[in-house]
Amino acid sequence: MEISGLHPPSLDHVYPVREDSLLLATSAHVRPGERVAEVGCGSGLASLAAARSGAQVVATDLNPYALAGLREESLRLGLSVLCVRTDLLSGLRSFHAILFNPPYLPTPPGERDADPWDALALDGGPDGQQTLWRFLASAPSHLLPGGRVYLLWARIRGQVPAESLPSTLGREGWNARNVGSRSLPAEELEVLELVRD
Amino acid sequence: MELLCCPLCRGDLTLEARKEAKGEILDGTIQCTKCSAKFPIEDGIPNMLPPELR
Repeated sequence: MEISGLHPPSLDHVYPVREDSLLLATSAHVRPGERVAEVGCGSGLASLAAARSGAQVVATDLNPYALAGLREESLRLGLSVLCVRTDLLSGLRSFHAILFNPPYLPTPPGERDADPWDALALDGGPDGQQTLWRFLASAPSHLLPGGRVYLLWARIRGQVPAESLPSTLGREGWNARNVGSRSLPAEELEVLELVRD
Repeated sequence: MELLCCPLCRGDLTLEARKEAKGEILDGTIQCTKCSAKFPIEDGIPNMLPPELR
């Protein structure tokens, strides 16, 4: 599984392109001319794919290595991606589509990755959902009418959550629809398309 | 710039370029027209973090 012509290079301190990055980039429906934001972009594969589809793309991350790498790669490919260093959607206006592959690994405080940039990409807090919910709290005010969120989510094998994510999302006013899945040895990956009820 | 706003008050932003190439600002300053907060652009990347986190 790959996206032809898009191969962001592996960089130190940047989460590399993996199955989750590919699934998000290939499952998000982005139309030409739409305003698209990718939050926590990392290597920025989904941003590059959206820009290639003709969308107007902003990519955000806290990680300066990720942003510098994505900017260089977008220039090399002749694609326009505005790279912005910020926390999630802070400082962004409103979009037709917002893409996010959040850090989703359940991580007790004592088990954080020693490299702070790797920890930022992986550590989802004790329940794996900390950053996801912080993002979803701010997302509605950054969506244009009818706007969609494309969220990468993983079911880690052997871990049974108290409540499935789609039911929690429903309670929080999101209508969730699966638009992509991939089964891996340790986890089931899914991309959910979320719209406000 | 129409995709960005002030992270503190959501005000409109103005741009001041120090170094430009191919119609793109490489180094400069973004300023909020409402609360006057300033944010640097370095190597083509706006930094919208609050000063203490830059």
